Amino acid sequence: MNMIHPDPDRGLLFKGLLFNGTEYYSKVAIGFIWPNSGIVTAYCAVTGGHTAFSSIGSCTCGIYSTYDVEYAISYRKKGLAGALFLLQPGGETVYYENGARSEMAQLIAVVEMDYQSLSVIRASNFFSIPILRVDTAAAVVDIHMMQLSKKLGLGYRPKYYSEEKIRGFIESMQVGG
Amino acid sequence: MNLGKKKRIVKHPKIEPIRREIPKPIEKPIEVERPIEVPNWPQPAPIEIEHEYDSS
Repeated sequence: MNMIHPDPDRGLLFKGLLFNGTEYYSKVAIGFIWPNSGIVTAYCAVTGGHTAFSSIGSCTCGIYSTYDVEYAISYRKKGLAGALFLLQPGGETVYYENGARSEMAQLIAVVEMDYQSLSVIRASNFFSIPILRVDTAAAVVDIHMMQLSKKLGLGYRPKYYSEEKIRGFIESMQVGG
Repeated sequence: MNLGKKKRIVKHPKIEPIRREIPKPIEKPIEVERPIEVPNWPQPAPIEIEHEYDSS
């Protein structure tokens, strides 16, 4: 059985990554490789590192992720992501309306879109993490973020996406497994 | 990625990678098959066979 054990005190969000045959990376930061531990720490290419991550005026560094499954699916459509994951942020994290930007992140599950394709199984094996159906993942994110929002006052607005609606996003964006 | 309006900055604890302890290999003497050393015996002297030649 696929089980995930997210830390209730951290956010839970979607992240899209690409696979180049040997490594996973982000399209917008090609040189930033995700190791098979699934844990990454952002670094600033300009300063070579942060002492105060989010307090830098116009700083846009960090690991970007979204709460919104529709947004995540559209990322695949644009070719900006090959596989979808669930991640939890760590260290300094800036929560926004649609997602978060964090100093660190840890992948905790692979999100399957249609069926267990090779790319999903490969990602699951690579990071040693379970596979979650996309509609389950969306519901888990919603519930998790509602609870965290109560604790931290994040002003999270639940999406309440139904399975049908999510399938609709996938079909309209013609995303295969 | 357009994340929208900033809501809040939170300081989460850093993520510590789980240390997976790799079991140490059991130290066991490696048995290597060695060729049997054959002592250098003195080679037997060639046996001289006396031939009887017909001297007639």
